[in-house]
Amino acid sequence: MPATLIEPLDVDRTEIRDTLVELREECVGFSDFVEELLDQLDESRKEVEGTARLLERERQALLESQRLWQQQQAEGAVAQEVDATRIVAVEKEREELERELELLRKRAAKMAETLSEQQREMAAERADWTGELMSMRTLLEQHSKMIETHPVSATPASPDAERAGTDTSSADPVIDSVIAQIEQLHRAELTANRENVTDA
Amino acid sequence: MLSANRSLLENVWRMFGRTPATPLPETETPKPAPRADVGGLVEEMLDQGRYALLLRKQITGSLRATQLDRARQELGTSMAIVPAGDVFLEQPHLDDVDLPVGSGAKLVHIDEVFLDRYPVTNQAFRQFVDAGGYGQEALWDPEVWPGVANFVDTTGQPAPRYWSASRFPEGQANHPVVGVNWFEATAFARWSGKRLPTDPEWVKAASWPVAVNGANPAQRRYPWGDEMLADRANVWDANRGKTTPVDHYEAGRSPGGIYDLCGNAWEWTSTGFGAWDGCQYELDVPMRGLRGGAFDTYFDHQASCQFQSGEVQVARRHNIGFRCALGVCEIVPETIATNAIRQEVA
Amino acid sequence: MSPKAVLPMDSYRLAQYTVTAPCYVCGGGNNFDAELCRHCFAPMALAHQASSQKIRPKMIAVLGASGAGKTVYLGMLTDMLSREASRLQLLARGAFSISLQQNTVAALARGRFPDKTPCEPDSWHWVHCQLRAPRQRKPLELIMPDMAGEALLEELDHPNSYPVVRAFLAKCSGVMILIDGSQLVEGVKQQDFFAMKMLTYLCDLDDHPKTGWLAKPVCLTFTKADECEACFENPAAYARRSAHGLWQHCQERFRYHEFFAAGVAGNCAYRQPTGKGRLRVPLRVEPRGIVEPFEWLVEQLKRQK
Repeated sequence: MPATLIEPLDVDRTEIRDTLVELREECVGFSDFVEELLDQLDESRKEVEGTARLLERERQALLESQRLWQQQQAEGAVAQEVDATRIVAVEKEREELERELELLRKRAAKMAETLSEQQREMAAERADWTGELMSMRTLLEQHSKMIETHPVSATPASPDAERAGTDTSSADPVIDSVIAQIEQLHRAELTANRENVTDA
Repeated sequence: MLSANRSLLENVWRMFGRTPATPLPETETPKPAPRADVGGLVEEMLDQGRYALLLRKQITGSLRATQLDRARQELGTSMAIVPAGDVFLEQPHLDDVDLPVGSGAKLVHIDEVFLDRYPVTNQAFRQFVDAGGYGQEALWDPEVWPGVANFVDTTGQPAPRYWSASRFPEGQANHPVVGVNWFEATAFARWSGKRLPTDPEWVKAASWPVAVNGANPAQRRYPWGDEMLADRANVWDANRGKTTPVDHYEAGRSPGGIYDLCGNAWEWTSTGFGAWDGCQYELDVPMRGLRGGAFDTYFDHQASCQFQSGEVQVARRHNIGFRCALGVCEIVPETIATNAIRQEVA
Repeated sequence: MSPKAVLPMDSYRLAQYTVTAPCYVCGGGNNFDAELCRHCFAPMALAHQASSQKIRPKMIAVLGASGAGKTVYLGMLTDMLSREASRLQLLARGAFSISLQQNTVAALARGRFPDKTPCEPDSWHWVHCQLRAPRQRKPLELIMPDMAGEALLEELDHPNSYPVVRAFLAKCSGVMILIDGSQLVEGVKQQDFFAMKMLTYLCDLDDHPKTGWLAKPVCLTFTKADECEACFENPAAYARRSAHGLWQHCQERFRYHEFFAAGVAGNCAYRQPTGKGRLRVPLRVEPRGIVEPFEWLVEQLKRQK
């Protein structure tokens, strides 16, 4: 082989050998770097696993506390319901008692009214009786005077008087009312006459 | 003990020919001005037209002779006698093929009775209203007393239906009172010491039967005769369209001197409706008889003496009024006025 | 030789049959000697009178449910107007026009109501009359038939089932609708429903705002008002209270309408004659408010001229 051809090949071979050595050194550097990275990755993985375990523990704790809270809420609602029902019952009882009280008050008022009405009626009846007795006394006096002056005859004076005497009661309240008015006026006249006589 | 004492007192009262005082009224009544004496009371009652009460046996003993005379004169002026006798009642059906003629007809005997010469007027009824008649329980039938509060006028006052503030329409003092139901008419009659006439009494007064040997009495179709004459009664053909004064139709009076029996306003009687009719009516509520026709009666025969219409007792119609009757036996016998009336009739 | 006999030839009369006489109500052709129109059963006398006297009678329909009182109302109205000289006076044209008045008055005088109008149009009573008012020169010619309530209801529910109803209503100048006031008092609403149906039917026939039913007079009358005094006191207020639907309907649709109350019997009761059912009878006859609705309607018709 000619020397002119071998010299460039040697140069190339030397360059290539140098490049190869450089590359080997780079590779060694890279493999060291990769090992470092892998070590870092391992460390990071371990850290993540630890954090995950921590988070898991915290999640469990949260769930537990949520369950506890819900339980407490339920117990609280039940307690509130019970309270509300008790309040309604108490209020109902209060209303019933108030109604009863009102009823009793009304009955008492009514009884008082009835009592006063009865008292009024009794007073009126008493006055009525008094008036009647007074007029009867007057008539008795008149009749006793008449008996002294004229003897009483066994037979009535006229058929009309007998009819009038026996038929004075009337089923007609209007006639009775008129008769009563006339009687009252008669009595009033007699009273007035008696007073005039005594004054004289 | 009180009731025993009461009966003892009543016996004592009877000995003296008096009656015991009546119990206190159960309802409040408007109190009239206080009367000084019996004379004042009698005058007041005469002014109110309540002379019939003063002529009762139970009351005449308390009157002076002059007061009694005045009451008798009022009776003679205001009422006419309807002689005792028979009257034939039937419902005219004008050849109704369903009913034979005269079915349900009856011959009825009535005793002597007084009947108002004129229907009760607004002026007369006002006395009853002013005296508090609507508030006196004793005047009203017990079954209707709770409903009397509904018998009010246009302003809600106790009075006939078409009145206002317990006053009748202006210019109608002498018109027949209308817008009163049977109960109001009865209460007024009681208040004035009278009653409503029965159907036979009314028909006898209007048709003036004349006894015929062996046959039904000959009776007039209308109080003046057998023919409807437009100038004798206020019916549809008179073209008035409303009531007229009770003394307007002088020529329409009966031989007994009773006016306005035909037309103007229907008149309540105390008899139930349908008593003289052969057909059976189905009445949801009981009705009382109406007689005489009114200003708006369209058919002449429905204003005749024999025709009876009917209405429920609580109805207060624009064309129904009434007049009153008084039994001769209910008052002191042999009054001067009665003799005068008998002479007039003869 | 026998003398020649001269016999009149009546065959010329056959010529009259070639010309049809149109019915005044439906316009249908009929033979000249027909008594009733063969289409609508209206009396041909209406057409003959109109053509011979050169008049154009106006038509008024009196409508109402069965039992509302159309026959009694029309009969009493014609009788009252033929008796009174002071207000409107009615003169019947033709003997057929008096039948309704005669039957109604005869029945009422005997203490009963007239029989129910049959559904067959050839049995209906027609009234053709001349109406004179005081201080009025020209009388008003009117035709008013008494139609059966059941036929009217049938026509409402099934149009054209009664051609005479449709034909007549199409030519009417005004309408009076009768409503049974006594049923309203009892709370029965059939009557005002019928009235509303009738008014709706009329509007459907002709709803032209100027010439149709919206501009024609509609008179609404509560019958048997003697059983309800509140009717007489204020019919419009009563309608508003007791027939509010009908009242509202009229307020909204009809420019010329008015409410009235009428009654013929003062009081009624029931009888049970042998062989017949329960019969409602009048205890007395005292007409009230009969003429007033008709007077109003006639006034409205004059205004329409």
